[in-house]
Amino acid sequence: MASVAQLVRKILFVDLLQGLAITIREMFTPAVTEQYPRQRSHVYERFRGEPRMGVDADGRTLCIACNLCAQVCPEHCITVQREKNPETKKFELTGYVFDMRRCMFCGFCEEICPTHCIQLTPDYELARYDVREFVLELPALERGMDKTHYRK
Amino acid sequence: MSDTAPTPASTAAILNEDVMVLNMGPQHPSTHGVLRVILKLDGEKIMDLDCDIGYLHRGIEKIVEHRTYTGAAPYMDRLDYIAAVSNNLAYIGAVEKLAGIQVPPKAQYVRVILTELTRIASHLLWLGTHAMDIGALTVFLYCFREREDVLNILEMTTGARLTTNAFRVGGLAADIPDGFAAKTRAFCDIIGGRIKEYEGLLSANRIWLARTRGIGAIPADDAIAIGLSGPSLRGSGVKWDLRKASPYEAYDRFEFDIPVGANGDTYDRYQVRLEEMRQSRRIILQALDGMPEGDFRAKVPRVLKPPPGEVYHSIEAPKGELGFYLVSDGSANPYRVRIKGPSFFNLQAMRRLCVGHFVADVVAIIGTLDIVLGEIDR
Repeated sequence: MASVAQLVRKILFVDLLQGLAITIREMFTPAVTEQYPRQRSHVYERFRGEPRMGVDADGRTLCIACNLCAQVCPEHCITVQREKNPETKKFELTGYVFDMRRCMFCGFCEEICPTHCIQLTPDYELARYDVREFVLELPALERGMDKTHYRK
Repeated sequence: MSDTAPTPASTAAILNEDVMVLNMGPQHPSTHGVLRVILKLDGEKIMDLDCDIGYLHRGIEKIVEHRTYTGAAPYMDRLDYIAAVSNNLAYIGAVEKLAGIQVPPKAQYVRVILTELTRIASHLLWLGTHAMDIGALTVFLYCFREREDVLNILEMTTGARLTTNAFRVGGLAADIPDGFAAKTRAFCDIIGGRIKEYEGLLSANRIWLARTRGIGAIPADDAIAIGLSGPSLRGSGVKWDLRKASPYEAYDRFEFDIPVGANGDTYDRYQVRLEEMRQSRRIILQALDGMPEGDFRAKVPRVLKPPPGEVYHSIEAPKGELGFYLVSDGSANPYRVRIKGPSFFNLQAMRRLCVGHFVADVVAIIGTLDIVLGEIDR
């Protein structure tokens, strides 16, 4: 008996129609595709994208040249150039290089930074024509990378 | 014609033809990465095959010998990149075992939630691509729509969609964000109905049945002998799940079932994975309800130097048993890291499953084993 019912279902294409019903139902639901260049996708606060370095209200860097980010970086893509001030016996920042070619956006540097100076911002459009643009120095890190805005 | 059907071997002999060798891959859309399968064919029938791997070898085991214990964690996301959270959990768990670090209960619960979400995402990607390989494009689009929700939750919590780097030794990178529970619950609300939709599209579909039922069947004994694990093993009816067998994190506190198949064919493994998604949803809801308060990270020294010794820690990743064997010599870098990835072991079943089937079935069998080349080649 069960096999007869199965045969009837098979002849009437019940299994395929069942699938088609689901697909047809889907046609009346709103589209979920993002129209990317026109429609920017929503990025959450914690997203790890373009690296930036913070400045205080007077425009001075927040970096205290502690070298922790360079030590913690698994790919060794951060170089902190610093000099010891003989008077204050403290390190002073002379330069900072962030090699984004090697960066894998793990976020260890922003996690360990005691002054929240280096941060991975939610900027995700990082494609460039020239690979040299990925070696970022202090001014570029403070200003942000030059953005290309594509228009129709 | 004789009344017995000719065996594949005799057809080539009768026609006095050589067996044809066909290279499938390394650039083939259905090999899910850069896998090269060398097929020996008699017409359309597979006589023998060999898998050539190593096209995605990056030497991760060697790289991490030159990283600190904490600094090695992001590399593990690049093994099985569609279930990065599981890889991270296995590695971090191994380091914690080695260093004897206790993880706060809240971190354990969040780890369970994120890992189960990843399991759902991994199975969704598997279902979508597997169905697309066999010819059902619709399922692929639907699966990726739901996977997007999971990736959004991961991005919101960990800061990345794929290479999440979700956990730290001792707990989590950061506390869960506002709206995490609501978003996860909203996902759990819809996924149940969506799994029903996939079933409606596939489970009774005659094309799907013809392409999966009886294809790549493997009995339980053989599956164990080859070393299959995860859904590929459970499809053969072996009730083996590390979440139950040797519970890690907080898995002993949740109720869930281990789905098993009966015949061990492609269709059974499909049903096992669908049911696993439902069970993952159950675990997530239980973990959200029972989420404890407290710290999300234990106190861990900044430079972690575990005592000399060795440890093996394995978890039930979406694809099977993922284990990490760590040897410490007391310094800040691991002396040796050995990764036991489930995909590598599951791939060994290819010859056993494929011989005697047709070329088109190789695609279905690669799909049903759910391999990821990032993990096989490491």
